[in-house]
Amino acid sequence: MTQAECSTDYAIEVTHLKHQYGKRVIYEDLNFKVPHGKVFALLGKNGVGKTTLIKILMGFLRPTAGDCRVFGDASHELTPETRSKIGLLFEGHLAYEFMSIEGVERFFAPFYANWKQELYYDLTGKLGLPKNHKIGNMSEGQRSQVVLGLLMAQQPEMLILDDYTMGLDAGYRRLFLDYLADYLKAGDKTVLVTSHIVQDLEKIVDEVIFLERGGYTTQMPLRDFLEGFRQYSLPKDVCREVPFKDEMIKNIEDGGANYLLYSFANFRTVAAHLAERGITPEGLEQLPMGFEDAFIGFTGRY
Amino acid sequence: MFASILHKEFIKLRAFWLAALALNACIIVYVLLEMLKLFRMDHAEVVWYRVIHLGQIYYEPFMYVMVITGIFLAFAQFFPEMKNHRFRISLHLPLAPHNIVLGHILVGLVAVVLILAVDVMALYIMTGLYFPSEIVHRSVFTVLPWALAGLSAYIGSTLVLLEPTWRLRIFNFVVSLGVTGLFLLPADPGAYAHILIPLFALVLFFAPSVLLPAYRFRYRKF
Repeated sequence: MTQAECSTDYAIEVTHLKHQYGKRVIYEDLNFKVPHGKVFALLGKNGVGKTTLIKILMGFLRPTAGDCRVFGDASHELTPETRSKIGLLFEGHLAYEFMSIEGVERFFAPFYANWKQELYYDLTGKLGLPKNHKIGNMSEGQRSQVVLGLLMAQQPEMLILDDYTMGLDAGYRRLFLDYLADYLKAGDKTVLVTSHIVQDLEKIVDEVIFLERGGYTTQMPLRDFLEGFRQYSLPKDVCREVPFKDEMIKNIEDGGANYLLYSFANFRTVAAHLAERGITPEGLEQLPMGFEDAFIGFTGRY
Repeated sequence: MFASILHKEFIKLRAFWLAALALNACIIVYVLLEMLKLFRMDHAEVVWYRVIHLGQIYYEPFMYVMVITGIFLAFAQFFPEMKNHRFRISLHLPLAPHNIVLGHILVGLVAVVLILAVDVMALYIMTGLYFPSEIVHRSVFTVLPWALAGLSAYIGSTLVLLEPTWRLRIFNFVVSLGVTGLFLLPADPGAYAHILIPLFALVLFFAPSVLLPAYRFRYRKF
């Protein structure tokens, strides 16, 4: 595939990405693609390399090997033009604490051609603070609102949000999502988001990319994941072999009196699969679960 | 856009700049009092003899405060940028990274130069009140290398602060110490007068070296 094709087909394209910190390998062979106009959630347990990946995508880390392209540019050589298309929310809502609400808007406005000042003041106006209020004197939630306001005013083609929920209560998270939903209404906007509070994402995310230790990824539409990934309980009191993970059983957790089995296979297939392995499926039952349970079931609790 | 970078750095530095200016003003007052004390303790001809023939320097505190000013303003400007790697916000702006970094450095250097210029002017004026013009010029040529040391200390501190690895940070520290030390070698008053232009050129060429750690920060591998 040529670079031109990459730039038109995908907002982000990661191919055979390898990265390591010293001897600690984060990814060995990471591959995924993010088409334009979709909302992607990059999910995984702590320490699997979500923030590292975002740093690589934004050129703040040079990968050990492999290719990582954003709007067709190699991620470690993003042109100013490409950077102008990307709104980046840094972990912890990084901001210039020494600037005021008004000052920070005046600073960023000249950098972006489609700057929408009214969107910024619409959001920051909700804070009920004077325009000369310093960002350094704000709570994390208030600061997140300023940062979100700046991102909305920028109207970027792609938003990259690194753990936007950090330090936010339910009200601020909801506000964030409401504005994100408005931003997406404009159409053809791409969002890559990481978050520890996955249930918030259910309403806005199109696709999920699960990142696991060693750089293994699973990418699929969220709807397919929610409909296809299942939780089963298997009572412990029946005398049988202890079930184990394999190509069909993605994960097993201790559910107290039951084993909790997670799989993409349907009930009949799982029951037959267990029987084949000498584990009687007696008492096997499918349990309903929400996005967070499914996420934990997929990635494992600990 | 470049002007926005300059304005932002101005806002960030102004309170620290005023603090540094106040510190330098205190030193100016201290040096003035030291000079007046010389004339109270001895007759004017003895003071003249000491200053002109024995090369006594009563304004030595300028040497320390100029270097401290450079280090202080570099820390005020870049330490908060390295905390949580806030500098990434600036480096994500749609401008070439070298323009962003040099914009930061330009504001810092101007801030240091303005304060050091106040020191030199103050020394020029107060020395002129009691000494002949030859001594005034010699005093100025004595402190100008110290002013270059102040600029070098600013650049050197920036080199250390922006560097992402400890190994090279120590290396940058040693290099900066060496370059800054060149301007502070013990010498007769005004001895640097004939090589001030090459020394100024050295500082000028030292300034862009901050691009190296800045790029290493921007495109790091760890």
